[in-house]
Amino acid sequence: MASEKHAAVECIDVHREFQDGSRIIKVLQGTNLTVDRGEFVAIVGASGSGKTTLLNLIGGLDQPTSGSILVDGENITKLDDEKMSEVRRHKIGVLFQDQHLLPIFTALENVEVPMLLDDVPEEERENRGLKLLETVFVDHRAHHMPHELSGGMRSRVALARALANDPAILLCDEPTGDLDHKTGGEIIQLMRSLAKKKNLAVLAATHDPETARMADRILLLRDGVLVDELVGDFFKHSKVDITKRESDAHS
Amino acid sequence: MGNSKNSKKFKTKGNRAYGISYALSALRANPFRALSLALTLSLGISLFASTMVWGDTGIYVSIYEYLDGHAYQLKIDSEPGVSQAVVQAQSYMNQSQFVEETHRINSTVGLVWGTNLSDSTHYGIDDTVYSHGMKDCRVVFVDNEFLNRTAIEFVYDGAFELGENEIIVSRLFIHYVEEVFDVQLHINDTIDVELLLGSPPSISAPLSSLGRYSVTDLKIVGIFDLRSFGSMIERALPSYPGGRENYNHTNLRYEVMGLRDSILMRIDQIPAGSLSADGFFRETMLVRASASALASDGPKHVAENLMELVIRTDEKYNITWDGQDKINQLQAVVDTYVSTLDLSILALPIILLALFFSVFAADTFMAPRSVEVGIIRSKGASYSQVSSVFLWESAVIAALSVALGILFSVLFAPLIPSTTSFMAFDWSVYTFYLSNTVVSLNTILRAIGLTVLPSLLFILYLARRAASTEISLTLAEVTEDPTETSEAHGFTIGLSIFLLVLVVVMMYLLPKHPILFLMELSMGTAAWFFIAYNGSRISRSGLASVSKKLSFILGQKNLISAGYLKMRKGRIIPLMVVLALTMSSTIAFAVQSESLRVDLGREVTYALGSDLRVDSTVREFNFTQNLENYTGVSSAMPVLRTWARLGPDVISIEALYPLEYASMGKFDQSSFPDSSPTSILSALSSVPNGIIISEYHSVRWNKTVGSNVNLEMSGVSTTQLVTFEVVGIVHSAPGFGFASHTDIPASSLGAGFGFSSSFDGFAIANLEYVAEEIQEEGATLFMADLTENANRTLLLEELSGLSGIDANTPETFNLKEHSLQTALFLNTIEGLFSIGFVMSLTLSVFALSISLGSVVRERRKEYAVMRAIGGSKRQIVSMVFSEFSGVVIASLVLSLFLGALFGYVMGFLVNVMSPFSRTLSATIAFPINFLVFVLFIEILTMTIGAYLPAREAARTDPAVVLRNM
Repeated sequence: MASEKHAAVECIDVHREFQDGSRIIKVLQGTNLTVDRGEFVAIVGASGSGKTTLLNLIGGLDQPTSGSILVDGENITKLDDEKMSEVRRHKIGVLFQDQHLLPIFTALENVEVPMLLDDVPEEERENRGLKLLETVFVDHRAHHMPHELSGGMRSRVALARALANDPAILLCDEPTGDLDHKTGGEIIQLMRSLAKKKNLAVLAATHDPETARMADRILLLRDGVLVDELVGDFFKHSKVDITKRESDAHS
Repeated sequence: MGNSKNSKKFKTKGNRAYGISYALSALRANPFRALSLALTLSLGISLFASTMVWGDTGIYVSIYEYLDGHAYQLKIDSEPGVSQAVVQAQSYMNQSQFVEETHRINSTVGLVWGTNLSDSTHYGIDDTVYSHGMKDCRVVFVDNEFLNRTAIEFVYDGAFELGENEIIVSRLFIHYVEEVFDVQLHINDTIDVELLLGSPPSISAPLSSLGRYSVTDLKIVGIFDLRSFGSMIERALPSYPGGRENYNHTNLRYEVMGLRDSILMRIDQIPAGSLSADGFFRETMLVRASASALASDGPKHVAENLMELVIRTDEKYNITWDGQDKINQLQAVVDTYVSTLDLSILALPIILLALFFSVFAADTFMAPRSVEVGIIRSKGASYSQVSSVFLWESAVIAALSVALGILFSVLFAPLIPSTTSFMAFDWSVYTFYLSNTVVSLNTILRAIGLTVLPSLLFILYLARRAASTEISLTLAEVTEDPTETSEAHGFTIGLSIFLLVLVVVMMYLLPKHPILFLMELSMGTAAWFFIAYNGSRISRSGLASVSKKLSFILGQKNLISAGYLKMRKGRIIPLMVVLALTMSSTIAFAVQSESLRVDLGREVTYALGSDLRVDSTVREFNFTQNLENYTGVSSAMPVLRTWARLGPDVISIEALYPLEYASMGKFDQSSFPDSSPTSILSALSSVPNGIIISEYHSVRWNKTVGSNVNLEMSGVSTTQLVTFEVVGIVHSAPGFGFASHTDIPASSLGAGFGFSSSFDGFAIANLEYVAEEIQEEGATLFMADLTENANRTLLLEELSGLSGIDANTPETFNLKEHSLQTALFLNTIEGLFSIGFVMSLTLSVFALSISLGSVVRERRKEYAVMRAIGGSKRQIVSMVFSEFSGVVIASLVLSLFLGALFGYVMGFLVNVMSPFSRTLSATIAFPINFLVFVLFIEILTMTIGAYLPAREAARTDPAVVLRNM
């Protein structure tokens, strides 16, 4: 297991403002953040606090008004569409709340889509896809269509797709949003173990205290600025036994 | 309490204005969506309504067209001794609504430069006048209104209206004047004419007793010839019956004293009442029918109404009348038009296509709106309020569709009569009919019922279904089941093949009947739809495989679009079906139209018989030398046409030079069933008394090759038996039509265009032998071969300068002039095909833009995901574009096959349905150049149509689309 300390993401004084008619909405106001490889960081905050905006900026789907964002050491704030897409393909994995698997492809083909965009040859693509599905424990459903899979399995396939091109960071927006407690916990546990195993950073925006509790760090986004602290009493009241989940996931 | 009750009731029922206010807001928010649906529906309306509008106005058109080319339809004469009968008849007929105009016409004898003749000079109309140095002619008294009315019947140089002391003379008159006086008259020359206004004695009499009246210094302002033979005006002013011997040194009889040998003079050149009522020629009356009155009384009663009128007049007054053939001709024109209306069922596939497309457009319109329905419902809108929203929206769209549909119908309908050939229009005719087109309420209601109502009901059905669905389900994201269901496919493929085979078998076996045509066409259309559906699936999958295999060239990302091509059905299959149907119908229409055009060209060429056909008044055989002197004429041949009889059978003998005919005749392989033209005509040439007879007569007379046949033919002052030896059998021949009347189709459309031989058929014989036997030196038909670079237009212009000549070449043939019925039929067919073609093309562009736009909107999330996981804009454009262009290419490939197949089947059906008669067998022709051009345009349009949504797809902003997802 690689455990070299290396910043996967660095946000330096990032500002993001939106224009709404004559009104300017300041969502991020000098956000600074560093997430190292192998680290699992949860971002919590009230609705509209800017969690998704921050993830979009780091994921290269949006441009900051000012400030710099470095992904795996590369400043992504000034890249054109081609270069930015390349960064997204190679360094960033994205996991959505609804998984968003492409309904016309099988589980394996869904995992292969980022590789297809990268022109990876067929044999290598298939081998890597199957291996990734094996990693997330759904290799036995490789040739099933998304609608033939359960929610948890779809999340695992989506996770495998996010890891397809061996990214430096995995961005998750409400990764367990539409899953039940048990399944959600398993996915988070899986993500956590993969992060450690593959030495990739995981940055998850969540409302779910249990997801947050499993993070190495929990950051609160308040007034457009990140505060590095354990937030709220509700985290302490969680009854989830992390150790048990880990063993469940492996079984 | 009352107030309280009302209030409660109001609350229960909800806001009654909610539906209309929401509908108006939705229309304001998405005007393009509503407008595109309205446009689509209006195209459906206009396609249907255009054919109906043409149906409504076509009766008038056919009668008008006929009357436009024929100034008068009836001729009324007084019986001898009761000259007043014509006047009474005129007064009576003028009261009839079916009569537009009557005109009494007077004429008498005029002697050119007769002022110098002494009073004692004798004149007799039956005399050999020219030998006495006199040139007599008919002087017809006219006014400018009459000239204006009849101008269409004449070909003239100079003016066709008269001022004081002005005359218009016939070309034949000028020819005779030159013969008698050796002076060639030209326009602006002046002549004197001695009019004989008195009553003629039975024998020749001195001029003094014939009411001589001198008119001098008459200026020739125009020279005319008659456009056709046998017009009513020519019959009103007939030539000397059987021709007159003008000279005493020859017994040749000349066509004189008729309209063709006349001077047109203003009626006020002679004193009123000076013309004797019992003059040389009796007063006659011409009657012109009223197009509007006849049309309004129905197409079946045209002849009946006119005949009734003239018979009633005949019963009332002492008159004789002529024109039954013209009345029948007019009825035949109308009947032809009515029979061509049956052909409007050829538009059935397009009408069904429009209906299918309307429903498809309605489905596309409603696809993204089920969530909207869920939202409205979740906000508390009742089931009936949701229905009311869509009812109002549908009503507004329907009103817009109907308005646009009527506009398009008015614009499209006149294209039918103004079509000159496929996709070529006479815009002056178009403008004329545009100003006369009437759209009846009945037409609008039927069009709405067929095209607008189903799709709007479908919208309401979808809305009500969405409204009655559980709200949470409506709001949930619809996940399309991408798997293909294969159970129904075998059935539909089997059904397609079964229907297609059934149609072909029915077309061969069943008799001609509109109901059966409709059945055949319906089944053919169903097969067409089924094949388009199955073919779309197959060609889409096939293209996906090809695309997948090409990924080593196009890049691995191409597999994504290949996957989309293979798996996505949704709106893509209906789109492909619409594209395949529309594009194949454009191909089918083009094929049918080209086939008709080619066939018509072949028929015209065969009917004329050679490069140049000259029908004329009697000319000596050596007139061929005159013809050969014209630039471009390489050789010419006279054809002596006479009659022959065997028992009750009378046939026409076409006597000619066989070897020349073999060289210049435009033969078909069906001409001589057992032999080639060269060998059979060589055989005829080698047997002086040889004859080629029809198969029918060969069997009927029991004569085979080598048999002798004795035919009764004309001789000097009597008939005679002439012996021929049969040398071959003919089925049909260029220039003469079918050799036996038993082969001639009942329809008067096509087949021969009036050039076919008369009697019960014809036989071909040697000219020299026949001429010698019947002692004939003149012919009325000349055929000529032209050089390749001959200027046909110029040649015809030059030939038109000769009197009594009707020259035609296949290239310059005026169909309308020779067969108005055929021209009308072709107008309808070409018009229908042209409109169908334009509609199909428009529908395909509409389908593409509406459908692909909708597909992109539906797949926004997928494109956003693709962008989020690393797809660049360029990659998305290329991926979506290759998928969409793949859809277009797959549809195009399918439509090429379908178009060729249905072009053939429909072409066959048109041939079976058609009242157009042929001498030659029908062919199917593919307009390769036109199709290449059309396909190029279609591909270009479709490619642009596919690229624009692809760009829209690439612009998907994943940060916006995937927010909170």
